[in-house]
Amino acid sequence: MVYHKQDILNYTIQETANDLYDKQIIDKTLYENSITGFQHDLYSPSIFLRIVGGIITFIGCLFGGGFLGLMFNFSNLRLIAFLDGVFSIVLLEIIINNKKLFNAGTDNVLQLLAVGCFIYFLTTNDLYPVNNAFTYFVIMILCIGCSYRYIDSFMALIANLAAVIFIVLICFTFGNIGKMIAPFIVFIFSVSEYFILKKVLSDNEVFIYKKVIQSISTLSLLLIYCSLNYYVVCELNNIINNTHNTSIPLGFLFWMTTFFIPIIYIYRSILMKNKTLLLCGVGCLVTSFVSFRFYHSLLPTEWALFIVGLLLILSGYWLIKYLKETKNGYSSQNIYQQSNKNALLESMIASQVAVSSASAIDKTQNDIQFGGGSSGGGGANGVF
Amino acid sequence: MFFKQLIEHQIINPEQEDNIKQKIKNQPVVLHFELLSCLYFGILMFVGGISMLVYKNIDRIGHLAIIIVLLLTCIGCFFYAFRNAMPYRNIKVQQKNILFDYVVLLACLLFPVVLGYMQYQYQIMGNHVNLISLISSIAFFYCAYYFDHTGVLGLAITALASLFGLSITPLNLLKNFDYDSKQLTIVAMLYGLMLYGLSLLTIRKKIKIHFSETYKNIGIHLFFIAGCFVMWIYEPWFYLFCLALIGLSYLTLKDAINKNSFYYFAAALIYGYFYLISFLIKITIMVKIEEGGLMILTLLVPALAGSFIYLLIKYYKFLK
Repeated sequence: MVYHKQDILNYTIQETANDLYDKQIIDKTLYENSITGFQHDLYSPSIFLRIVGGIITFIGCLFGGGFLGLMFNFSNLRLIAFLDGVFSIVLLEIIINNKKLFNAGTDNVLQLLAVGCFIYFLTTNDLYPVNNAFTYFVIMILCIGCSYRYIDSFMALIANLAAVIFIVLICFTFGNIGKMIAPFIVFIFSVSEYFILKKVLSDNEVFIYKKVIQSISTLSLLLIYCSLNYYVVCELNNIINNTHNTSIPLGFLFWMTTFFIPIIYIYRSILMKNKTLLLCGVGCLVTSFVSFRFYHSLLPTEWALFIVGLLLILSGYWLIKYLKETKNGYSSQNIYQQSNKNALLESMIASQVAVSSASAIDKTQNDIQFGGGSSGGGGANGVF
Repeated sequence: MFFKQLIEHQIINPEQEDNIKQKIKNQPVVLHFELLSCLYFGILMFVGGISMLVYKNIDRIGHLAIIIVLLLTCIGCFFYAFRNAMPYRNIKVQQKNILFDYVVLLACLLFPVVLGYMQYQYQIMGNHVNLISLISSIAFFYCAYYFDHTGVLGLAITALASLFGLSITPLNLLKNFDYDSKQLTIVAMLYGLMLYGLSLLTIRKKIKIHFSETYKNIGIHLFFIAGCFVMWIYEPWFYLFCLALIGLSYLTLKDAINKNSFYYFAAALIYGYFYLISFLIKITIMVKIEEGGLMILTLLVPALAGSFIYLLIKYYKFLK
């Protein structure tokens, strides 16, 4: 790990204290004592500054790469990629050591750039044969290394995805049987990963990696679902075999799992009072309906939107009323501090829909345009 | 580990630890934001579905039937809103019912659909189609202030922009905005300035001060994004525009530091960075020193990035 352990420990304690204070579980005195008692000098800014830091670094690196390219006249791209990778890692280590950057955008971009350059360097050569499985194995190893050294959740997620693709590609080397069992292997891998991570999370030793483990754990929930989702299996099957089938062997089983896994998530989340599991369950259930609609369209899009919209309004309203008093550990009352941070997002989405809706009708008049005269999310691109 | 550390540092004792653990156990999972999002997206899908239904069946359903259904829903929502609204005040008003904001939003989203349809069918405005944007905008502004609704304020700003020929929805800014149009880019800059002015006016007159953020946010981004294109379109005045925009980014940066705002600090920094890069690229193109110039440019931009990141880290401590 590149950081001092105490710094990261104090940072994680401050974050936990912040979270508990927001939820009004600890009082202000205890919160302030936790903040002053566990000082750190890490630079880990808010999301806006992270994005800005990331963009500035990316553009800077792009031009820096251009400089290296010009130096070598763009003749040996492997060498340029290698130098770029080394340069990014050295720069990353220097700025972390001097300026204590932690998830500040700049360090994330430099990590990505270094990993990307090294992958290019290792997988484009004439010395040894390179296949896809090897590429994903390299990605996995590099990302695990970065995630461990820089405590980076994003790198851990990429490593996990690369591991799954690596497993699938290894399965494919066993021919048709391998292709058939690949979804089940991914399922078993993800389920085991989820339960192992759940156990690991309670260990005090991994406290500083808490966020990384939580992110992989959430991803493994989604992978469990995706591995047995009918749409995913069918479409991947089509891509591999270059076919356009809408049915697959054991189709019924996959439809069952497509709908049952989200229901199990939701049921378990209610029992365990687990919000992440609940949101995953709801998201997966919505995906299941969209998957079903993809193959068996029961209603035209406009009616589907109209009915689902109405159902969402009614169910949302009913749930707000129903959960006014806490039930099964869930509440619709906002106990956290009021914040206006979603106001801009709200106004942006609303204005997008308003203009799209208006232009849906407006488009029927060829000679007259208003509201910017464009079609957007309303999907009104059909022929009238 | 958290509690272990707190006990080791004598911030809490074991008894307090048990209390906090018990509180965590009893704390309900709050679904406030998720359920409101569910309502919000429900309304957006509902309106999207209705407008598509009208569009696709405009020649099949009776015109009167469509008008009546849309009009009744819209009027119904407005009726509910006016009946249940808290009295107008210049400060932020919290409505009693959680559903209220969403009914207002639904009414306001249906309003341009109704108006647009009536224009299509009965040409209520004759050839003055812009009047629809104007009327929608006035109605939205009125509703935004009367019902204290930030979402509707966003609609009002967008509708007013479309009156000037601007389409400033997020998707259009990325996809369809006519960046080559000399007139539009200047109009966008002026509109951005006007919104910024409105933000200042809102604060000075103390009328719905919380709206000033929305005005300022859209205004600043519109102004600076249009600025990126204006300096290249009006090439003879490139340096003038570029230096003016760099100056304005600097002023925004200073203002953000004074007001302790991370968000505007970040925005000003990124726009300033783009303008400075544009400036360097323009100089490279002008002096025509071929590869040597390119080499210097590829060295200067990373150096610039380094100094901007240094600035970010330095001021982060102050803004903290």
